[in-house]
Amino acid sequence: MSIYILGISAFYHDSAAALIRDGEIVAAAQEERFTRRKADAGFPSGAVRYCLEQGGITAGELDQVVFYEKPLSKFERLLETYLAFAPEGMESFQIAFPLWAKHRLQISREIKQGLPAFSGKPLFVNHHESHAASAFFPSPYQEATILTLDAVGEWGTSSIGTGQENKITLSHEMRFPHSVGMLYSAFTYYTGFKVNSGEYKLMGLAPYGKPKYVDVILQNILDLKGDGSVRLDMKYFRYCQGLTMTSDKFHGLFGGPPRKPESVITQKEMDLAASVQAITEEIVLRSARHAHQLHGGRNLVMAGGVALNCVANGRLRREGPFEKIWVQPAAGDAGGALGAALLVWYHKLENPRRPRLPDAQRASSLGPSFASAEIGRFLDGEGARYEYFEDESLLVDRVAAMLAQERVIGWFHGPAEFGPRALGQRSILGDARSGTMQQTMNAKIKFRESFRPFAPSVLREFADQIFEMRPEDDTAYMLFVAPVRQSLRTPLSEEDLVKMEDPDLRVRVSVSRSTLPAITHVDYSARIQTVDEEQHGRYYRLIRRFYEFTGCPVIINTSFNIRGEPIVHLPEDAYQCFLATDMDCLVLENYVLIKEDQPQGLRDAGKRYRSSYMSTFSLD
Amino acid sequence: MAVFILPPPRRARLHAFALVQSVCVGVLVTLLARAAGMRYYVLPGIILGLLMILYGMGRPQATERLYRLWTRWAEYYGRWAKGYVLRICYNVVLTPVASIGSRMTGEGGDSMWVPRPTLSPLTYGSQYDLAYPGCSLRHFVISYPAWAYKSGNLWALGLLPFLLLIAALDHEKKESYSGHIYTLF
Repeated sequence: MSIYILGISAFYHDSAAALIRDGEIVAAAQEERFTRRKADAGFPSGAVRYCLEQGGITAGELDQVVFYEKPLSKFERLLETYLAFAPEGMESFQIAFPLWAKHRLQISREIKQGLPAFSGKPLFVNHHESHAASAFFPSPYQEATILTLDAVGEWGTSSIGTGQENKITLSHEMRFPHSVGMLYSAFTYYTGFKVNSGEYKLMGLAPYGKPKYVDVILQNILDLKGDGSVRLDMKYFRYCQGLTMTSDKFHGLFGGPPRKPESVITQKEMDLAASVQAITEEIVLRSARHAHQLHGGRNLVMAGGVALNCVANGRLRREGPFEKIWVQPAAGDAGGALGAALLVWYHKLENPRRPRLPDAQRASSLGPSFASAEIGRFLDGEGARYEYFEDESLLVDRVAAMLAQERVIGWFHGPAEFGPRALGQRSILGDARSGTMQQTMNAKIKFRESFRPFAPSVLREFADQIFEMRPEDDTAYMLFVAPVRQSLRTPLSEEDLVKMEDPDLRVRVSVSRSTLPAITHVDYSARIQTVDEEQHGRYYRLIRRFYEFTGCPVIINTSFNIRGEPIVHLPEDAYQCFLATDMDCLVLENYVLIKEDQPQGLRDAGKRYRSSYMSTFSLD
Repeated sequence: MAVFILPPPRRARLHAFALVQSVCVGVLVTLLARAAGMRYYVLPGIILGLLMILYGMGRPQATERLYRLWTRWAEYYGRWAKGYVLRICYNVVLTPVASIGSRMTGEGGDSMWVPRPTLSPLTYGSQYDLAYPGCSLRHFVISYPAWAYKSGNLWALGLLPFLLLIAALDHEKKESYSGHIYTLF
């Protein structure tokens, strides 16, 4: 008889559920996809329902339900924080205390309400152990050093340990309030982006700036130790006692208040981004070296929100000391649901573990999928015009040809990805060779800031020819950045160099820097996804056909959504996004819809709908 | 001014409301009758209360409007009172305890990495890092004191009445907080 374990992360941000059966990952999904609220923190009812359906069981048949952290340990940290800062902290206390009184101290009850048929008692595991488990157990390694870098869990903000066969052991941690995640988020806040979701924008902004504030930060705000640990001077922060991340002293140090969201991004924000990114990379490198000194080994596994910093990951891979690195694709709190479930399977139930190749994460294709017939009924109901392809090779031919004509494609195929990255299941695709694609996609499809780079999907067998990476390096989850090879870079003219100093980022973005301008960032870097047939199936065959047409094994892959919107979940969401944006083509499994073929009434409705669609989702 | 859109109240809630309302009116009428010096001052209250109970039980929807008004008022009151309760809690419990100090550490010498144990699976039933009697009990009214004792946070027992009061007074339908708050949850 099979054993089912449901992992849940919730009530902080990015709620999720994950189901494992006899140690195998059956399903995992983030609640935001179901509720259409980005980083939804509520009980993950939709994700739980989906996981149970995918497992073919009811809640009553679950053997264990496990929550990804220990609420009372976290409450203790919260109280100690107020004790450390009282009488300051009243405004924060007024928000936090009712939430704890009503929900977070009653998580057993909340779980019971969410899963009324489950008759057992829920389990609770440590936040960083959940992260560590999510990093090690699905990895391909029999043994590895573990590094989790996060904002904060209960008390821990980062941890170091080892994984061996079916056991993880955490040996060291950094404790609140000293946290690399907090540091990064403070600068995210100060530069006018949303905390907990805008961090990746700061990372994307960094190459436009110069790290001229590094010394200021290290001399005033941060004591960076030789082993990568950090001590923050809390006088510069207010996240312990206030409703903002940074204090007036921080604002004074950097010459003014935080940038207002959606206002103009100046060189100062770019330089700040470059500075905090440089420091973060140094923290990651030093922490990894320290972990290596403590535990040795050839393999490193990572999780925690900071492990999504693929620029730092890329440097770590290039500069060592570890030969191989595996990062949990859902490295943030959503992945904690998966880690918690795996921790119970291996630690509590003491089951043996056999690592898999390439890993046990199943390409992170763990979310909901939709049958072609279901999609057909929906499209017929909408009165949409489409082509239906029974034969996949014809479908791939058709779409690859459109990509080669610089058409923008909405691609919806197979199970949705678990984690923040679109990996070829819910993606918007474009031609990486196009000089105008980046601006077009940012302005007319995503409705987001002009500086945002796009990531490439590259055929696995060509990756080391296009990017500076070793032939054996795999980055199927888009978690490593590497530079475009010198041979593909184009020299900058005098005019280009002048443009690169222009305060308007759209001008800088327009400078072509390689033969793949749409995916080459201003520092020649790219956030790479390697695609192979075994893991990616139809998506691989699409890029392969594009390569056969064009000789280019690279396409643009960006998430299927507009700014601030969770990645599309239902075919309806994808269709809505297709109509409301300037996307040229939508592929829903075996159905292909061309924008210009759609009835005029539908296209007009899409245009009318656009403004309300955009106002629903603001920039993060 | 906030607008509350309440879901249709459940029949059982209307019944309960009618019952409480009838008892309150009955007692009030009895007190008024006594104050007026009536000889059988208990009777009017009982009769009126019984009639109201019969009516409320038979036609609960008749009390729906009153029930909604009452609920709305209770929400306003809850919001208003919650602010005071929180201030009292912070100033009466937390601030004095804070004068003793906090376990939140600052200095770390050459390293901020500190040794930590990996938790035993025996603690998985507990919402705290330790397993102890009562730790897996579902309702926090029972599990909270056990935690406060075991964790060395006995002072936090002083927060329990406030936690219960706030839980009763808070009528927010869902969690809402600024996107800039990062650490508190």
